Amino acid sequence: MRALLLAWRLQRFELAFVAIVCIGLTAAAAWLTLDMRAILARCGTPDPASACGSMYMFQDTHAGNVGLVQLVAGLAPFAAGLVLGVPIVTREVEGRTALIAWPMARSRRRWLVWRTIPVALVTLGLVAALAIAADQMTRAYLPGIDIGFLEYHTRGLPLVMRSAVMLVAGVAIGALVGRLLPALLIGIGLSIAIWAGLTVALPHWAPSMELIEDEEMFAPGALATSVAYRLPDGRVVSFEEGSALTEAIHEDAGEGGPDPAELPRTIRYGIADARYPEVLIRETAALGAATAALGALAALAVHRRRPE
Amino acid sequence: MTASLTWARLSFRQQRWELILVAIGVAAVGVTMLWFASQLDGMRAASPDCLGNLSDPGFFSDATPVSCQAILTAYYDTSNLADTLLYASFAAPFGIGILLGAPLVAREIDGGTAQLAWSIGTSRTGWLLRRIAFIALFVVVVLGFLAVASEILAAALAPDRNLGTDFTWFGRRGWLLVARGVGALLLGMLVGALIGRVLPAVLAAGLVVALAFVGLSLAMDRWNASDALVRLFYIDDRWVEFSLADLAVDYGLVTPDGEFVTYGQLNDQGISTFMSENGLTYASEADYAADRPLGEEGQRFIPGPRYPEIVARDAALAGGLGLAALGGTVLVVSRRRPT
Repeated sequence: MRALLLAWRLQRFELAFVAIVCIGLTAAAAWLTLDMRAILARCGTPDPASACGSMYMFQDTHAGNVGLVQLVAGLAPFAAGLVLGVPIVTREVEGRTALIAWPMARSRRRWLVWRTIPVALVTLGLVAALAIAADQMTRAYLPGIDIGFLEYHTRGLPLVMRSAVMLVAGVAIGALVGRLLPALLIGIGLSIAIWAGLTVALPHWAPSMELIEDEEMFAPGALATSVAYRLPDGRVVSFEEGSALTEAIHEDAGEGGPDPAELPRTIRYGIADARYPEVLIRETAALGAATAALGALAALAVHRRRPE
Repeated sequence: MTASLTWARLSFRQQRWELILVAIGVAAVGVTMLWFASQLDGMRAASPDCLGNLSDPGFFSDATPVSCQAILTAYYDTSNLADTLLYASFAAPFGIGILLGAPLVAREIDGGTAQLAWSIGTSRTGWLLRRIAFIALFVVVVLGFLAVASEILAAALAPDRNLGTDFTWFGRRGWLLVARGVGALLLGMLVGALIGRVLPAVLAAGLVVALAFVGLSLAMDRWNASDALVRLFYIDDRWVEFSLADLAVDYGLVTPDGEFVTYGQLNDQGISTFMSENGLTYASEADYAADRPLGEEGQRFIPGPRYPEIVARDAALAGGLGLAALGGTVLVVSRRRPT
């Protein structure tokens, strides 16, 4: 409790900022979820909403607001982690209070843990609430669909893990650089790199397989990775080759059009939505390991650096 | 001259790492833009048969050679990547302005150095102007480089168009970036002077700059709407070709009285459209049967040749906002306690 109070006194503005952003987003997501579920509940009654018949029923009415909340929710873990993580060490170094705080602590590592844990608990708690609300909002927006990998980066456990990595990365960068704004700038660059890296890595956490037609047509939650063509003789060719061949067959066929049996058939590769938990566990494990490694780096940097 | 150099050196030393990191970031984005521009130019020069006349609408007919398919795919993949860089040039002025502007005064107050700096100088206003001059010059130079690089990239992305009279990528290229950057810098500085702590100032400046520029953008939309021209989608039942260089302000219906009503205004009035046929739009099945149209589909737009004037107007608003913020900062610095 004392550590939490100290964190509040030292980082009052940043904690308030992150809390307002996360609670505001959580409230917005919850409100949108309840609103969409209320509309859905009216379907099948004598007074149904006009959107009840369509597959993507909330596209015309809620898409803008849902998209905005998803966009900000995807960025929030990075911002929260950096804003709260970077100043933990830099403020002490820049303000020269590390000169007193570090010798007074039993060990610098203990001081770092004591300072980081309360901030981490608050951050993870706020982001977890947002992650649950954003997940429910996406499910409400796409009723009757197994959402699988849809909006993967803007809801659920991935948000919490990203905030954990960025918080510890912020602490580590702050400990290495020792100055607030340069550390923040480097942290922003690192956030972009981590975001891009995780986006690129997502299709590689599980092997990509040919999606069966039902998955391709009726399972929008599958993670599509590539498209190819299967020739009538069963051979699989690349998308470019298949497209060129299709065009050539159309050109040769003339007015009557080609025999459909002669045309290459489009096939899609990807990860089926049923494998979402498997991918989630692998990514979470990797990010957990990265968090631990960054934590060790931060501890080492604090242990070694001069307190000014 | 020596005094100016001393102040420039002092400003650089106080924000050395931020300035170096910003310069590295802008240089990386700018050089990548130039690299993409040269790639696109090179691809067109290497395959004139496939990429020589992309602006010709007839090019994508059945006559497009099959052998061009792979070349076109590669060209469009490169174009799409290059296009995303222009989003970076849109965001850069605001990001740079906030990161360099907010700490300018806030750091002096936060670190306790304002007590000394403000008391030994002849006037706080003079101190502030000398303190901001080098940073403002730095922002103008780095964003000037980005403005030139973004124009070169835009020209490579749309080689057949005269971008001097074209609203394509408005706000994502050219010297408007510099004006917006200076506006954001001065506004960030005002927030920093008010708050007096570095990180809170950066966070608050992000919010204030976003709100201020969204407000300016809405004001510009209204201004544009007030002097936009109106055109119909169909004339004598035939679709009218649009110029891609024009700025589309809004879409709606031209009523039989000649008034332009946007779709948003129709929605607000509780009027929904039943169907449209060759631009003639009807509110209900009965109106359609009676041939009583609500109006004709149309658009309010600003012609491409007015691009320089609209850019100058936007830049003047950003500059005006910056000057007002500078005035506010002078007032705050002259009045506030240095702690």
